[in-house]
Amino acid sequence: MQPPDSSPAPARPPAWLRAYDKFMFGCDTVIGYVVTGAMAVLSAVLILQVFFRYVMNDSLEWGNDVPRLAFIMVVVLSIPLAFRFNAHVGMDFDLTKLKFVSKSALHRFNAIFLLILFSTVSWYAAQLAGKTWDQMMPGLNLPVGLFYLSLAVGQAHCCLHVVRVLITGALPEHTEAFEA
Amino acid sequence: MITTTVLVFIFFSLTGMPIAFALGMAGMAGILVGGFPMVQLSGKVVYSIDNFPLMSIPLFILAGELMSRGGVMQRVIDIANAIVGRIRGGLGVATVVAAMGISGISGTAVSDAAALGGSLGPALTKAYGRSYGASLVASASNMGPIIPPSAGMILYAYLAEDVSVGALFVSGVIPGVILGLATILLVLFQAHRRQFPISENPFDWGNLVSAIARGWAVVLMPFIVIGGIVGGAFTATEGAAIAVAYALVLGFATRELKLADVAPALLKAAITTSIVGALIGFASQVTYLFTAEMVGVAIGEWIQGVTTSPMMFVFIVMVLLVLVGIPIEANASFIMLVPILAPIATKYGIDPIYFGLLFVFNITLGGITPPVGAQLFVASSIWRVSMGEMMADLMPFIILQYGVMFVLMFFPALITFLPRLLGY
Repeated sequence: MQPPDSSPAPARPPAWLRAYDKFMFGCDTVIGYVVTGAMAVLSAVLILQVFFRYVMNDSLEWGNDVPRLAFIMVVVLSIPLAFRFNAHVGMDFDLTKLKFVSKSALHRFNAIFLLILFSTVSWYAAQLAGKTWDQMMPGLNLPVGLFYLSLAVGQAHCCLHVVRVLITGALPEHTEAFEA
Repeated sequence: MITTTVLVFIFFSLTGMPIAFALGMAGMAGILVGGFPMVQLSGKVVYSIDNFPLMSIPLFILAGELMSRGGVMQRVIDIANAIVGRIRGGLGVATVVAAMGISGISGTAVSDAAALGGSLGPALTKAYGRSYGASLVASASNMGPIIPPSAGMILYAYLAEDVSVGALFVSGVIPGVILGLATILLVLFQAHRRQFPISENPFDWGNLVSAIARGWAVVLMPFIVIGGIVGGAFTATEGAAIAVAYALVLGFATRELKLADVAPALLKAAITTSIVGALIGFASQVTYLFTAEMVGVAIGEWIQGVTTSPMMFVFIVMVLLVLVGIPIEANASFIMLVPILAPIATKYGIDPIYFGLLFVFNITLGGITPPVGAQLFVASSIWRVSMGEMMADLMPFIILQYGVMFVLMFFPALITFLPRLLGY
């Protein structure tokens, strides 16, 4: 029989943080569906492309641009999802083992710089999207700016996750939940 | 500018920031100090990942994931068990044989470790204990990136630019088989010394025929996909697409794959790809700065001043990669070091296939060296055993695998024979 747990129950987060988490969960869910769809399109079009090239002796006119767009969307939109699961790889130097380094202070310190990085990349990606919106992809009547728009959205989504780290001082738990 | 870039990267890496973003911070610092337009940072992220061959990475991951989720991988394991039969340490040998088979289907060591651990975990624990089971699976799964297909080889070929994916794929076959056979010998030696139990199922032709009848289609896949890529019939990305189609058809035909398995497999493949993609994207600005400032050339000239011997250069690089592989994850090591070291190897007149395979082999071995061994994380989480507890059982495998690497280094024909035979 397990001894009774004497440790205090974790404090319930304040209402505004729960609302923020709910909002982030909504964003993650929507982006998760988009990424799953983009990955399905990437796979399906490449399979079709192979079929047309080798069986029908023909090629799809849009067979290059659709996978390009889908692949870039998959990568840049999944970056915040990997952040949510703390799956991005880092070096294994645990500075918090030093007595004068607080874990939450270190996470907040990094979060400030990550916020700068992600918002900068997002801002300039949005500018690039605007500048290239009139250019069309060679084999598809869609603007080249979509590549950069995906990056702008992905990096803005990263900012949402980083703001949470900044508020709480805690990283998301490392989990393989996305494998489930 | 370069000093600032490097210092910023080291600083943020030490604070625990993920390497991809530490590279992004370093790139941003380089832009600020060098007076480049900041818009370059976003442009280069998209530009660097807008690459057709890179699309094969998520597809190979997806193919492995579909095979694994559908339980099709189990058929490869059943064949391995049927081949090995009733010998001392037979289950261990079957694990290695299964790892060799699975390596030809998936492109990463981590997915192989998960598939093997999930299927053979309880039996290995019962026969040899948790620590040995975890160590064996972590070590055997290292054949994943060496026997084609291999996400590591695709990444290397993309970064090095002087070697084809097909050539690297075929160069991994003999080293992968040597690694497998060496691991089997070690398992047999340990089984004899530690009196491991004799495996329960005696060899039986009927069992073998039945296992092959159930699993032949799975085993055929690498021959079609890799054979097609290596033979020049289709590109790596097309081969990966065929692998996905094959996995779907096989999974649904055997009724082992459910429609509900597909969406989680797609999402997992996407997220896993984004980890590599983030590294490539955020490293691109740093790579650009290094190229603009001719850092690779300077390092190359410095090394050539130290030694003019190509073999000594390879030896120095191998030792460097062993040291780098201990604290740094495999993909990050590729992205940081291939663009610098591959051109230097070319200057020394070293065969790019030989250098590329050794590079991939060495970085892969980092997956079973603590503290940042990806396969160790998987094995330790499946068996609920700490890395410290695994060390005693793991060490012989680590020594063996580095030993095989140095044998390959001194006998280049083991790597280059097959590619040359096939005209690469």
